[in-house]
Amino acid sequence: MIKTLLAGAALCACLPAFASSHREAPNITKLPKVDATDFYMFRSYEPGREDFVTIVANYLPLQAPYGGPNYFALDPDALYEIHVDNDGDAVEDVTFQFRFQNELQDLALDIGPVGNQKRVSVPLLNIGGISAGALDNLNVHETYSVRCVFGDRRTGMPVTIANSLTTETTFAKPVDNIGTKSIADYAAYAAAHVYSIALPDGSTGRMFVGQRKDPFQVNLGEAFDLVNLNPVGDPAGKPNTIDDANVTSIVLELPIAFLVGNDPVIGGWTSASIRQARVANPAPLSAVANKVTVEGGAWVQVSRLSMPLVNELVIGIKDKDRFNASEPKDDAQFADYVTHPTLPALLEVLFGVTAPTQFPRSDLQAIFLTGVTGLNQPLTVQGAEMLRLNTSVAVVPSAMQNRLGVVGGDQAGYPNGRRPGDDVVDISLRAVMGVLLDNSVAPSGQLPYTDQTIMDSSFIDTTFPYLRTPIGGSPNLEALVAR
Amino acid sequence: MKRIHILAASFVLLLAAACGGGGGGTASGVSFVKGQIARTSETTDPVQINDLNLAFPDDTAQFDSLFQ
Repeated sequence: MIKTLLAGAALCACLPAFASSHREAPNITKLPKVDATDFYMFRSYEPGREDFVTIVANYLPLQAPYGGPNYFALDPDALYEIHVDNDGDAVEDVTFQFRFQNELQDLALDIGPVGNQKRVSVPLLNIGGISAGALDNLNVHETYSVRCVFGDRRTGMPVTIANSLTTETTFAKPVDNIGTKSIADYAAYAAAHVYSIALPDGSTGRMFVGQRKDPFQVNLGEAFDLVNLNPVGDPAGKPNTIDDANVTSIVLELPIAFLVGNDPVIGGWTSASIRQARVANPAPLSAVANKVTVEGGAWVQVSRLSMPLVNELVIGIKDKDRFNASEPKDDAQFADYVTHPTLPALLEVLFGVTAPTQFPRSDLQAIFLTGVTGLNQPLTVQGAEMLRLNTSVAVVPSAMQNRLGVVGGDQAGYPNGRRPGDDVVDISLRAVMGVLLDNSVAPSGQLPYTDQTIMDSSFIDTTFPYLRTPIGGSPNLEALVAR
Repeated sequence: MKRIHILAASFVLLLAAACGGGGGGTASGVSFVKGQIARTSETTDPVQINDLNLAFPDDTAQFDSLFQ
């Protein structure tokens, strides 16, 4: 039984790896604010929260902490969504929709001597210190609203989500971590933006939206330079290339009972959409209501992410934008990329290892699309690419988590959902080369493949929202230069 | 959902007809974009455009009404 689970898990993880989903498709490189980078879904392992599932959707990749003066607000003209399928039919049953708003305060200063004084708008995001209770110095207030939609994401029944303590339906998003002179205690400031939310069934959950340190760890530059590293070297031998980058996280913690139907297995994914029509304004007004563009029409999905690395290194370039626009129910169109994956062949050419010779990889396709029998396959299932989590698998405390997830004997980890500390790069590299296939079809399958950048739960907080405080833009210059 | 598809298809056909075009013809991009914005909705599906040829005039003032 265990071998079956491990084999299944390994096959499920046979998704070529390196950088989860940062700038993974041609079109999305033009739209960074709606570029999903990583998606996590796991039973909450914060003590006392085992009856909840935490879902994390990260957006806006590779944020340089010093990227002012505008930093990294999300797109007020976009729709960000987190979807859950709880009956295995590849169609969303519950969707959380996020819309963002930016309110310019137009802070101004009186410039010039008395008698020749003018009040002039300032060019900066803040003109003094900021804390949770003191926002007068903040020039742009970013807020968001949330809807929960049951059924079809467009035509289903929407319910507005409210703060369970105040009943307010508008939530504040913390400004990015500008630096310690602007925000002396960013961790405390951000923590004030963790909300208790009232759910439609009368239960409550938690929510946080804001900048975090990118939890993904990877040897990115070398990986994309034809895997310019030793793929069987020291698994902790290289630094994390994106260790100096932040992302923007949408984090929900929801009761298991709210999410599941008659099956403890759920599937999840995130998507982002923009309006179909956009017209650029040749003469934007200099007022607070600054119409830089006019946008309208139906929502058009431009980003989609669930299991890591799928669009990054499985889908061919010609279909990457198509994948981002697609829905799980239509995934049969991408089957060839799974049954005949290209990365093993590339690794064979680059390193002289032997790629698995089992074709078509029908086992991989079945497990990839349906979940692993006995682990995270729904009772009834239509094949579709999504992150599947069996919510009945016991939680593993942070300190006891195995970075290799199910392959490492930890069934609460990837690919049974995904925790931020799961080393999906190393898991996937080993799996793609056939670590658990028979030697007759995977003669190089037993090598300990690695990107040489280690990832484990020690890099992740043990409490909600799990992802760590973002790197400040200041005073980190010396540290960044030293890198 | 079927009704939405019919509405979207009708919209495209109307555009094509308005420009004297049939299948594979050229439609007015300005009318298309303005029509899209006028029909902004949370519930409809986007219009399929793979078989749609849109023509835009050089005169950018065609869109000025959107910024009033």
